[in-house]
Amino acid sequence: MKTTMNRSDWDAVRDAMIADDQASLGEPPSVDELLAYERGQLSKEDAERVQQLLVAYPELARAYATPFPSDDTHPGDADYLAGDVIDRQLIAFRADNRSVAANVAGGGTNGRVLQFWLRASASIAAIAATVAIVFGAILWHTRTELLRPHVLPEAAILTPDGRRGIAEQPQATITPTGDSLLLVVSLIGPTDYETYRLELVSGESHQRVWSSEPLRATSSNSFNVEVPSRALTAGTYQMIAYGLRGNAQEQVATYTIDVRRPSAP
Amino acid sequence: MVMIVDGGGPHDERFEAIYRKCYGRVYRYFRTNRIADDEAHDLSQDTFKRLYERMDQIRNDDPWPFLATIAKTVLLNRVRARQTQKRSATMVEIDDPELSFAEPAAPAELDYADRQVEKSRRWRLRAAMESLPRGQRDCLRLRMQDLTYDEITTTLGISLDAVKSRLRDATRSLREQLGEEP
Repeated sequence: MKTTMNRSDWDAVRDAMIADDQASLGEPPSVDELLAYERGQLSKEDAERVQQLLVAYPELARAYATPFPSDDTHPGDADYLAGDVIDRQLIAFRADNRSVAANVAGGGTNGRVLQFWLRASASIAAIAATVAIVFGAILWHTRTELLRPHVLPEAAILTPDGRRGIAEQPQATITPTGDSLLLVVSLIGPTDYETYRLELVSGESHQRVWSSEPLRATSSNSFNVEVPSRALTAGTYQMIAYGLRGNAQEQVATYTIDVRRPSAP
Repeated sequence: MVMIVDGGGPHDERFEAIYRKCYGRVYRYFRTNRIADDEAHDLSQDTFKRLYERMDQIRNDDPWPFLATIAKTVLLNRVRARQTQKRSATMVEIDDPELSFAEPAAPAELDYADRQVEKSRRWRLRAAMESLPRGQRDCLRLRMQDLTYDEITTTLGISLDAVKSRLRDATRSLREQLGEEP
């Protein structure tokens, strides 16, 4: 049978098929999907689905497929824009986007770096303020403590080895019970050095535990050294006194100390 | 020289040069897609606004590929939004008084016999189209929407020869089924 179709028949069938497809296939593809389809980044199944949707949404298919016009246009060409039109658009753009431009100026690479440092500076300032408060409190507490009278720790008077009379005399034995102990280092013998230096050495490892700055001899020919108890583990130590003259130093005396920990109650 | 940002950031002079060079091309791209003059300018401005926000992402000397992708995204967003809007459009009652003044004049009504003939013709046409292989049917439907051969090629990701061949086969098949030149 021969049938003559008119234009409205074609349009009606086309529109009906589009309506049915849209109803059955659902929403048009997202822009991201379309760009991925264009780059060939979709799986075969997804690419076929996007194709079907483009057929179902022909306006989208046209927008997707329309090529960009050439850059070469001349006065008289369709939709040619003269320079003054573009100038006006640029001025309008500037007026409309001043706030955007300002945000972008602060949001570009340099802006982001600036904002990072501004945020970092604020954090650093907050930390610095906290540290200042803590150190201030410590300093105040320390100063207050220093201004108060306090009882000296237990004292141990050290005499030089070999100067205790008979050779078998036992070395100084210390059992620290408080937070610190006071070592009174007595100089016996020549005391004509300009200055002295004291050094505390572990008897077992011979490692230096502590060393003083140059010290001037006192009228009593002794030095008082306050040692935190925790600095002295059980064992043998030697306090060594050096006499300093110019750049030369001479060992003047050694003091052997036997430190013992207090027994448990 | 008009500066976009009064403060004069590092990208501003370059942006302005790109704007002056490419604005017309972006505008014509939207116009090619059947968009009215005013809206084409609006979409062009939107495109350049997005470009301005991403100036530090331009990776090479030629900004056009980057700008073209933005323009295409703007266009697709616009068309897609329209399509979605159509799908979710509010249904209006046929008796709504607001419809009365916007309604075009009704065409001359066919009598019952003519309506049946028309219905039969369209049914046969649709059946013939649906009997086509999918590749031919898709090409034909896009062609019926006035897409060019090149646009069909891009849409379906097939060669120009394949488009021509499928359309030729579809036409022949319809002619055989309907007995006429489609």
